[in-house]
Amino acid sequence: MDLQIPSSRRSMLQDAGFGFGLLALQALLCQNRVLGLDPDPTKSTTHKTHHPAKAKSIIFLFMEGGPSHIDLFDPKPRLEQLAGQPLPPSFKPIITPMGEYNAPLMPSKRAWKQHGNSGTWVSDWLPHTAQHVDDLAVIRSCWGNGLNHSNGVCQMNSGSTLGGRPSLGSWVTYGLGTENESLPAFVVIEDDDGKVINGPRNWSAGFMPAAYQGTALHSNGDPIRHLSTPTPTSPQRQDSKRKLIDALNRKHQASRSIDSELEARIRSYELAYRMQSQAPEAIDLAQESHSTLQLYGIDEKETSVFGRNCLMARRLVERGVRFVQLYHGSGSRWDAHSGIEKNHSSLCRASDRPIAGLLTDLKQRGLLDSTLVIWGGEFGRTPMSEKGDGRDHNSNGFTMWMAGGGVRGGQTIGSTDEIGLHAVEDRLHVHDLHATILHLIGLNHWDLVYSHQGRPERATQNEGRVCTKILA
Amino acid sequence: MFVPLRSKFTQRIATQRVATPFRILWASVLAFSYLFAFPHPFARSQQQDTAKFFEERIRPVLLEHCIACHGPDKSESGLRLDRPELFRQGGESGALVEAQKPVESLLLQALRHEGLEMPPNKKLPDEQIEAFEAWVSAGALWPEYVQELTVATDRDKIRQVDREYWFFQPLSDPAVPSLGYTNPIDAFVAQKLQAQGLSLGQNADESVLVRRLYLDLLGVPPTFDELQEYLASPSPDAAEGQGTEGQSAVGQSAVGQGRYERLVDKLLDDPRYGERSGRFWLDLVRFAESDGFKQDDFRPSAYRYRDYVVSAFNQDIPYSQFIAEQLAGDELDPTSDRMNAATGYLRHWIYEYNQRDVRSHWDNILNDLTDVTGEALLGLGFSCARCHDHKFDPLLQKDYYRLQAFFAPIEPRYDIPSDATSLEARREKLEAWLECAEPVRTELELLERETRTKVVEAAIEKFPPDVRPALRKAQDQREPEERSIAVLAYLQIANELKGLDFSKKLKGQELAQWKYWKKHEEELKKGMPKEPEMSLTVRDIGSRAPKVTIVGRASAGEVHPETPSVLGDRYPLEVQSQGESTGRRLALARWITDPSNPLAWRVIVNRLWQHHFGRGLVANASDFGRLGEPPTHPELLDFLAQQMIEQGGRFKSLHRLMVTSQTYRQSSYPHERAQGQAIDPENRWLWRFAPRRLDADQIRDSILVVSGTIDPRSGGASDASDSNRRSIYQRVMRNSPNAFLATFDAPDASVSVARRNTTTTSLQSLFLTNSTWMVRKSEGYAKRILSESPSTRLRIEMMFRQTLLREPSDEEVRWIEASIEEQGTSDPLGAWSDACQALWNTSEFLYIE
Repeated sequence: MDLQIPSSRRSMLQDAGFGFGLLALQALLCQNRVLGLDPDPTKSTTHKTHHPAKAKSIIFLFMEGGPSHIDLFDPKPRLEQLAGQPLPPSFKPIITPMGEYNAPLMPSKRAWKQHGNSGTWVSDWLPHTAQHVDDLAVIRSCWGNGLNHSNGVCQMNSGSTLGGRPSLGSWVTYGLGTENESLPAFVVIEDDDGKVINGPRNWSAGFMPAAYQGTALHSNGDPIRHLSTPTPTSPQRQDSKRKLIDALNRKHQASRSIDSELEARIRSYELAYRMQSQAPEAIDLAQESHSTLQLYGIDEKETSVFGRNCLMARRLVERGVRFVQLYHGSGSRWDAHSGIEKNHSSLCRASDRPIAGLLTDLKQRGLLDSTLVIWGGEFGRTPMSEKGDGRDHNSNGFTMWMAGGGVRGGQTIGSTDEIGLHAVEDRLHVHDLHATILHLIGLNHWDLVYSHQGRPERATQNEGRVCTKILA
Repeated sequence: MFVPLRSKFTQRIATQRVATPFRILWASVLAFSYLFAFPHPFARSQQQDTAKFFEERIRPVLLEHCIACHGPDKSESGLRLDRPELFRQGGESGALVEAQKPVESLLLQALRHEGLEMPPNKKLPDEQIEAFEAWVSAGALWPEYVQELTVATDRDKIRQVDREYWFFQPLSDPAVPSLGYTNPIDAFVAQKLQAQGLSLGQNADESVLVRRLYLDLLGVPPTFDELQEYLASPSPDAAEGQGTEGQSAVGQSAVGQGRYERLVDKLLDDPRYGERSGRFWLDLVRFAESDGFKQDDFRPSAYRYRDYVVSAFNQDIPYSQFIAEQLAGDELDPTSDRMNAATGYLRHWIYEYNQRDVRSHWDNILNDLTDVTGEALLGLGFSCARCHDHKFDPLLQKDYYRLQAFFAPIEPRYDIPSDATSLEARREKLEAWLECAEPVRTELELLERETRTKVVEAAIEKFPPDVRPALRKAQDQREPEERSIAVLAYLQIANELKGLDFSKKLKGQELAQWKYWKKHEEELKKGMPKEPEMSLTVRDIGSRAPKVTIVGRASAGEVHPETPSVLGDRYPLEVQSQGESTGRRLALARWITDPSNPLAWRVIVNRLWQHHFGRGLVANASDFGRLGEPPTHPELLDFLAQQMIEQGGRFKSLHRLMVTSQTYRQSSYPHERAQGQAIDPENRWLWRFAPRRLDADQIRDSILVVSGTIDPRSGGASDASDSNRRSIYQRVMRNSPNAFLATFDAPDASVSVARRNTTTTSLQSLFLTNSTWMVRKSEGYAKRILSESPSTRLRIEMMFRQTLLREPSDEEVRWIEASIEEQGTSDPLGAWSDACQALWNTSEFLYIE
């Protein structure tokens, strides 16, 4: 199937008939190739993985603002002894954005326990997640280069602290395409009120065609922007408009069959039409049983917002959406520069049960094997206090966890130093995390190449190593 | 072995010291690193991996840190690391690698400074040591092909074949093929077509051509009346009976000053031409009006750069002037508002208001300027050479910093008014006010001084320790390397001062006094003249430039502003300082556009070609290196570059040459197309005019024109929320892009974009059928149609004429009638609004053909 040649592409489309195959869509939607200019994404969008992989979808639970690893997954008894002292000279100092260079070290106030058969440490802030530790691979040795939220979130999404590069979801979509063309392949759900730092730039396709960018899904109103008209119109009227557009375009296209892009445009209206019915259905939680709603904590005020988002994520994954990114605490709400007790208590409370519910639900539906679930923020927090009762940003060492498709659960990987400042053992840079995530979904980060302005670009910027320990 | 710096005794102690717990830790690190180093999910052989790992992680370190002492020149302690067999042999202290216990290998101990300390002065970064651990654990294999590591000099690195690469050669002076064409472009194109067994196709229908030309040169379609006027105007073609449609191209003579040529001239003189042509330049220099990053602060005077670009195109200033003004306007005339606007080119980088690591931030800013200049002006992917020599092109890492050295002396300025002229008019008023305010301000200043000093000192303490000393110096005491870093830091410090509430800091009598004077100041402020708007510009820090070194290789010495090594002294460049400026940027600008230097000229004419034909003669318009594609028509490329130089570097003459060519005037759908389709489906040889979707700006602007809602005001501050002005005047906020434009692939203004992506997505369809923007425009238009035309038929005709510039077919009339009827009579506005929208959603409307 040589999609470079429009005529053969066209015949391929004809063969596939009215609802042409899943595979062709992405190819068609990136029309630059009609002019033979851009790299041919069809080569990668034949939707074949580079190697067999269990995970088919990814749910990335992004705790925005930087959750404190040393209060959640990485206990540091040494901090008790050093409490109140400045950072001992034996530790390499870091740049702290708020500049409290001599702030005293602050131990965690949490109660810690080992859980499950694996004995994974989790603090009492996450009692529900703690029940799933045997499914989790907790990585305590992540590190990145983002000093502030903006560059941290940007790097966790795109690999670079500066903008302009495609988001990980775009790379996955580019590599694997979609399994349900009536829904976007890469979906982003923000919290109810906050706006994620950097805005849509986080899920942008960077230098790739916009077909690979993330689509923001909203739980109120139109789930996808412009899914319906500003004032409701009757389905007949919508249908009449659609038919008219279709008739005019088909007539125009008939004498211009050498340009398959025109067919793609006709097709885009059909897809939009199908999206209009399928997207609302995909996130319609009325179809869920009471016990499911309860499982996600949708029956309680504190957990209902994120619970709904988590449940939507499951429904989307069920329907073949490739990459779902849920932001929790959008607008850097995990950013506990002061009053970390209050801040993290309420955020943990709001997210813990929904996340546990998601894991339970995915598992009982047999979806966990094919879904990679990732938890983490853009960085962790400092063992040094800030403003007496908060913690500053720390990208030199922090925790993330992964579960599901292809992950060997019940293990803790890597470590930070005695106080949780620097990752020391099995250090995993964000590029390594990305390489690992791509590996788990069947893509090799060296072979996943997009040619931009003639240059071979990779998701990990020609770096990154797969963390093989995590693999089942 | 490496030089033993310590006695055997201390060495043993050191080894013991790291005994048990550390060993275990290291063992696990190593085991893990091993897995990392050779993760083989890759479809690649072990050999390739070994080679890759060696080349990327090992060889550079050996070369940079080891072989000066342990190589052919010195071989200290009898150890040489420049050949695999000598490496295996080891030195006076024995073998470097323990095959059985790699963890305990001497090499690793030395690198970890456990006992031996190598390199002696400074331990390698952890990542590099980890790489050696992984490498040693895997057997310390050298790729088979490596026999000797030599320190290549820059000269060695550039091969003859590199120097002979086509792009670096002077412009050729190709003879125009004599095939009977008046326009030389056609002769070059026809020659290539002939070689493929193809020929130029028939001309497009005139109304198609006129629409193409309007959209291309002005960015909006003609009105129906403009088209009619054109078709009714006298034409020599018509007089000679040369209707264009259906005519064979071969042998057709050019048409002199026909009506088409007159139209071309008219459009090139239309002020909307600059608004259209400026667009590609703004994409190229990642123009935006906000900082990016978290705060994404608005840049109130950024629009002046946009206006500068638009006016530069409209005035058709020479390319050399255009480049010099943007790169070095301040060195040309620091007092000129226009120059201060033009140097906005040097200020489009993203800025992070709270980045404490100001040193890295400044590095990123300089990198950004280097990348953009390399790509946009020189057509070379310099960014690939930032961390290592370019893998495919003869650009050395040193060349990256040579280019960067031209920008290194700049200092962003925040105190230069953007509109000196109007400021001058207000000068008296301002001075009078300042004089009147002075006593009050002096009192306040005295009272606030101590607190301010404390706050500034506390703020300085928040920066990394290595930055602080520079911040405590007076500006004129700072080293050149410290100047811009201090600027970035003091922007943050100023922010802290801004938020300072003295009423909470002062006490007792001081507070009372302060309140008294503050009240006076508040009163005075009521009469304060408007603060002048500051321009987004730069100045050099002085005639002495900061020292530029290669990142991580400071020991390699200072890098000077020079041209890429591969060019040798082929196109020489000379820097002369300009008073308070190093003169580096002006020298660079002069060099870039020197008529003898071919790079920039090829790049710019290719951009113009892409602008008109959708695809450049060189497909990757910002990368003429080996990673791009070679030109399809190299002779034509050089011919055009020569033409542009001959025309004084002016754009309009090139536009004229291109759009009056037969090649440009071809139909997109020639009757005879089977052969073209078979031989050249991608139309690389230009046997037809490749149709293309309108870009975001063209779609939006076209709907504004067609719906009759366009607000024609040009220039000035951008519109904060979506307005009816052209897209180029909509505010460009990096983190909150205009929804319409972003949906249709407008770039996000973070990096240089040479050619916009063109996608077709269902989200676009949703936008064009459901968005509030579209509904408002179509309802407005429907109202007009309903009031202006009495009958359904006439209304439909009006819609077709205004939107698609043609009469509807009977069939189309029936479709629309049916659609209107289907919706009944209850909501005629809705029905007609839908019909308008449908026309705006047609491919016919959304494409240029």
